[in-house]
Amino acid sequence: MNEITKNDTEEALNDASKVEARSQLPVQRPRFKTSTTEQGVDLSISLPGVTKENLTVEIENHRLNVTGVRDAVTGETPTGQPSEARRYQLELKIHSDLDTAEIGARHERGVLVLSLRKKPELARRQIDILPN
Amino acid sequence: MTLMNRTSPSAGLFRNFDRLFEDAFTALNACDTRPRPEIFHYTRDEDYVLRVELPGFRKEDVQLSVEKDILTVKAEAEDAASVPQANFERSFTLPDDVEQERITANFKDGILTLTLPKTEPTEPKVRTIEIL
Repeated sequence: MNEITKNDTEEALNDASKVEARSQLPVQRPRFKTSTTEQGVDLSISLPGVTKENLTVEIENHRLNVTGVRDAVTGETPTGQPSEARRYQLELKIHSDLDTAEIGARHERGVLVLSLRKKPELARRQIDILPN
Repeated sequence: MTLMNRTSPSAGLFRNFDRLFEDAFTALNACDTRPRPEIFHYTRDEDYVLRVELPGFRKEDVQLSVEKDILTVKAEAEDAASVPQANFERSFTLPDDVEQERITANFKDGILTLTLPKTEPTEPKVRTIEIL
């Protein structure tokens, strides 16, 4: 069994205080847009300043929950506006025609793009025209 | 911080940053329903920091220029549909104590950060004027 060191304890306390501080952040619903693709729907969510490590995407019972934390910039004093630290939170119901088992996700340039495909049975299929 | 924001050189209206920020959003961009970027500014001991949210834009989409004491930030995406917000152009009047040659910029996670170093404070020269 590993021994718990002083450093481990300090780290745990720092993590706990960070979680506590983050829970106090103002919550903002991020901007998002949807676009239809051949395979289904792309959902683009604007999360400027949120790093991949501070981003969580969860799906449960066709409900999508995206949370992203943007930390305050240390050593800077905002002038005349609230701090830019915030917690983005978006909850959406996913249409039952879309497959939640396989969702593609990419995060670049402050935008999270989730690609949702139509359920296989609903995907477009070619119908052959039989000869007379 | 005395960073000022102005919408066009011809307007010639130098107003309070935050007030103008609101005005610009409501009046000048009324024809474009896409969201506008948020702007944050900070004062530190040795520099000013200006941060502009530009999620989805690439570094190549952003142009920065300084002419006299006017800093202009312009973001124009090649494919406008690929970014969640409208193209952006905004000019700011720089404070007198900014060392313009040393302004640096960084673009990460959809946030453009400009660092504007302050000039070294100089001792005021005191001159005694003799009364004739």
